[in-house]
Amino acid sequence: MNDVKKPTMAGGKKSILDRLKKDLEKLKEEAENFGVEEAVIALLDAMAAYYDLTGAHNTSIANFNGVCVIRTRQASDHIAASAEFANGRMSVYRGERKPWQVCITFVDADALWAFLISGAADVLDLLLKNSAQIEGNANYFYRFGFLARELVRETGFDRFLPKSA
Amino acid sequence: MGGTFMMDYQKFFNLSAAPQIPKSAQGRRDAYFRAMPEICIERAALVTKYHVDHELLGKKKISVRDKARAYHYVQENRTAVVWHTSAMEKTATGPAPFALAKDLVDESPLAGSTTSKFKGIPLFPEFMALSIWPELYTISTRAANPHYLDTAPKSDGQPSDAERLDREIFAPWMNDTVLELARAQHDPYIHQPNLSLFEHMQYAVFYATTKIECISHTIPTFQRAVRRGVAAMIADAEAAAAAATDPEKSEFFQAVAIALDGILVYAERLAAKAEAMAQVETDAGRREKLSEIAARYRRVPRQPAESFRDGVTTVWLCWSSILQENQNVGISLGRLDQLLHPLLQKELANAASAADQKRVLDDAFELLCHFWLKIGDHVPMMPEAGEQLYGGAGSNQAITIGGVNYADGKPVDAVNDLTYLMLDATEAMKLRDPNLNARYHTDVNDEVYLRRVILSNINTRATPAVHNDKAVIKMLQDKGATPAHAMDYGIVGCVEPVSAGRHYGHTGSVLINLPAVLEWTFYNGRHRHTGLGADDPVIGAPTGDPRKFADFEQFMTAFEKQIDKMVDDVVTLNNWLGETHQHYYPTPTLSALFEGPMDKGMDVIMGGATYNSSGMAIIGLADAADSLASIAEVVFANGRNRFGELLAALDPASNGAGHDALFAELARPERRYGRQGSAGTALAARIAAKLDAEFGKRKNYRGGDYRVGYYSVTSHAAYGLLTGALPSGRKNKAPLASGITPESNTPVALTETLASVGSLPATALGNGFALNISFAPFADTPATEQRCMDYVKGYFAAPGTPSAAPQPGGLEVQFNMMGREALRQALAHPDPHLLVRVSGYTAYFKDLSATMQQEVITRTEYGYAAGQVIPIAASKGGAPRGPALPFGQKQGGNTP
Repeated sequence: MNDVKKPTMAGGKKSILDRLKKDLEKLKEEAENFGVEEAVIALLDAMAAYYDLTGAHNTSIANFNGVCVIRTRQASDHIAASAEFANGRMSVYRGERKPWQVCITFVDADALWAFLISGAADVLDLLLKNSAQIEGNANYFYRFGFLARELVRETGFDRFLPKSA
Repeated sequence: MGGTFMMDYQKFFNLSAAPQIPKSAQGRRDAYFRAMPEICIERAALVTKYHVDHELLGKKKISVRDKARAYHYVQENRTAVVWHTSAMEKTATGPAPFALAKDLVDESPLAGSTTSKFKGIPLFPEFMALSIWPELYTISTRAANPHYLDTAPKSDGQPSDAERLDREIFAPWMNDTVLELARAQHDPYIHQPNLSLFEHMQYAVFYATTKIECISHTIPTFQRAVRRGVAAMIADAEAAAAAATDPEKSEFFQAVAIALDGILVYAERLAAKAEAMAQVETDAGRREKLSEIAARYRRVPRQPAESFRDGVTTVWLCWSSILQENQNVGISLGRLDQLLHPLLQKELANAASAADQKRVLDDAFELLCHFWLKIGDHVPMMPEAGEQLYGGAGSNQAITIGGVNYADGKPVDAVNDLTYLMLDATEAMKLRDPNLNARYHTDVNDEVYLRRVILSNINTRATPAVHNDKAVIKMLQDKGATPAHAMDYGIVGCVEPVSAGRHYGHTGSVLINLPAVLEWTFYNGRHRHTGLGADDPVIGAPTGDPRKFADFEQFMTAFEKQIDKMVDDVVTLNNWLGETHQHYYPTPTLSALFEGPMDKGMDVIMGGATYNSSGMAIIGLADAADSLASIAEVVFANGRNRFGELLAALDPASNGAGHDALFAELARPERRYGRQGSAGTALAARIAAKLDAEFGKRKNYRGGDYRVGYYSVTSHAAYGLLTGALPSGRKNKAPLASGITPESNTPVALTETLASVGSLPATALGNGFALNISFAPFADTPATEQRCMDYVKGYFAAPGTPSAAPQPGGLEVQFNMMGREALRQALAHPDPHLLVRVSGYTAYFKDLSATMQQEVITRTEYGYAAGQVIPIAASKGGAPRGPALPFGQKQGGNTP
């Protein structure tokens, strides 16, 4: 990795974001073919890559330390992925990484995917619709929601999203 | 006229002429309606910096003295705004600034601002401010109630407000919000699948405990500040600190002195700013105003108030200082007409002529109009989905007028010149805040006053609410207040009565969905919203399968056990959160402006106030009572048990389809609460008594009692969205009934409604209630005013439940007087000034959610003449949008 010449922020960030946007559009289509869990992992990987490659980790997640778990309740189609933030880096894991600070359990895969790509991260809305339950410290979820929304906004992906989840 | 008047009010004021907005306040009022709310990060940034720099986060406790120093730091450093110069507005292309100049100029005689913004939203990261974190870059342009937040980097390279919130202000609090501190201390189920009370709360359908947001909901006292000055109060606190032998008490007194000094620091900074502005001001009129402000702010609140203007200034500065420490959800101002009238009396007595006296009154009226605008200079933060639940709610700071005082062992008329001037200001300005509440004593206050109150309702269509002094005073005495303290009651927030300035009641502690508790009885502790499957959570108590119950009384026994379970849960949660406040969130500024703490040497959060309690708000009493009446008379009629059929009809998948006959039986209105002598009315009384008795067995974390009230804010619509069809005949997702009001379109006549509500046991209603009465529009004549007065007097005098002694009647009533058609038209052509009574407070109709708007439109409407119910008719062009019709009713018939 040390031998790789990283692009400069000015021109490089735009090209990285454009690439991420294309990847996210492709992810939408792939979710139907390869399953939501693969798409969730890929989305989280994209987030981690965004921080690594653009240097945004120096600011956005520099002091964010904790684990956020995203999973579904359905046993028949159980999905679980974890995003760990530590020392200014984001790491992605399959399954539930313990101990976690917050765990969001969606009723099913559709609810999970709709939430992740909609750009909406309103916790109360999820609770009102009973489409998810939050265990643990919701402040971590608020922060994670901000980061996810920022990724969507920075890549311009939000223009291609449905109006509502 | 009774009361204390320096003037012959009727000589100078025509009761039939609507008061006009003073010219000096018109511009600011117009600007207020034009401006959009702006998030102000200043308080949050300063509090966070102080806590971080002094390593207060992550500790096991934060002392009251440290908190006082933190708020002193805020007062030293927050922007000293004398006059605002700009605001933000919503335009077709997005938020944009507009200048406060020319016709929209801000030249308020009251310098100072709750936030740095013209219409600001203060943030409290200690509580729930982090919930808007995901929206930081979208909150300015969201569809419902956008909050403007600066997101552009500044020209000097400094980060935007949004960036500061993300990077610097929110992050330190992630583990130190009140909710997280309470959870860490009490939730043993983290990382386990078992649910805990905190997670029950998250389902949003059972109860909402507001301590995660604030405590608030109280009335401070400004009496010592006005009469003795804050400097004297500081001297008292410093002397007490020096004399105290208990180190904790000494620390508390030191904290009081520090917090009060913060108020003086801010006042002095405003004086200096006004003086600096005056020195460069070229307009002579403005220069004179600024010089006067500078002189006044150097004098008060440091010294005792010498004039009415001084008094209002002292109240304003002390109250807005409390808001640097406490989120404003109902921090009310009490009986200002009693507090400030002596100052006005002095000026009137010193006036040289009748013309001078008129000038004094005119000046006082003008000042009140400016004060009303200042009081509403901020609005609460609301996350996006919160708009569905609480959209349209302001901060609900109440002011109480009229009623009686205690003198020589009896009640005496308390109405005075200022009572009338405050009604005038409210009527002229037509603002949703302050929430004006008028007390009326049927045996002591005269009819001229009651007529004036009714006239204000007619002219504003929605305010003030009217409170029954006889019933409320008796209720407060039954709950332990002395006669003098009971007669000195004020209204908190929406409708809750407390002895003003000495009763720390947190009257909005928990908002409880009573039909949810009823539903636990249907499903042996489960609920449709959280699932009825074997793997779904059991939230309530295991009370058995109602399909096997022998009779209705067995069902009632089970329901009462569910009530016990609910009471256990909410009291446990409320006390846990209260204890967390005690460890991490003492409130020295509020304590300094309260009766009791200086005597006891302890913060109000520790029990320092003279009286202590926690107030519950029950939502859906009518729906629960009506459902029970239907269960008794239909499901268990004639020795049968048709619960299986009922549960099949309530299944969310079918929502009553295929069960028309059963629902028609269940929905019959004759048995409902609101019909005099009905089974529903008797059951409502039984439920109220049970809730009061059960809560009455518990003590709160301050050693006070629990009191039960029936006001719903907009929660009746919110809980309705989460509640399926009910045995009352109510359909899935329809709003529950508001406050203590019978279900819409149940009553046949106003007198029956008033008698039914008035018969509920007042002592069991210790946290007050909101009774919403809508009148069809009528012409304002002496005869129509008299008719309305007769309704109020009859309702207030109605006999209560049979007992050895006669009971007074209903506690409270509030009105909407604009009529359904005007509201329907307002849907198509929104009027930014149209006020409505929601359920306890007043809101701008256009700000309410669509569900809430329809709920207000479809409320029972009465004709004033005979109090007959006006049937709902379809509007032009077909039936209006809104919630589904009551089950069984079809379009074209009795349609909303």
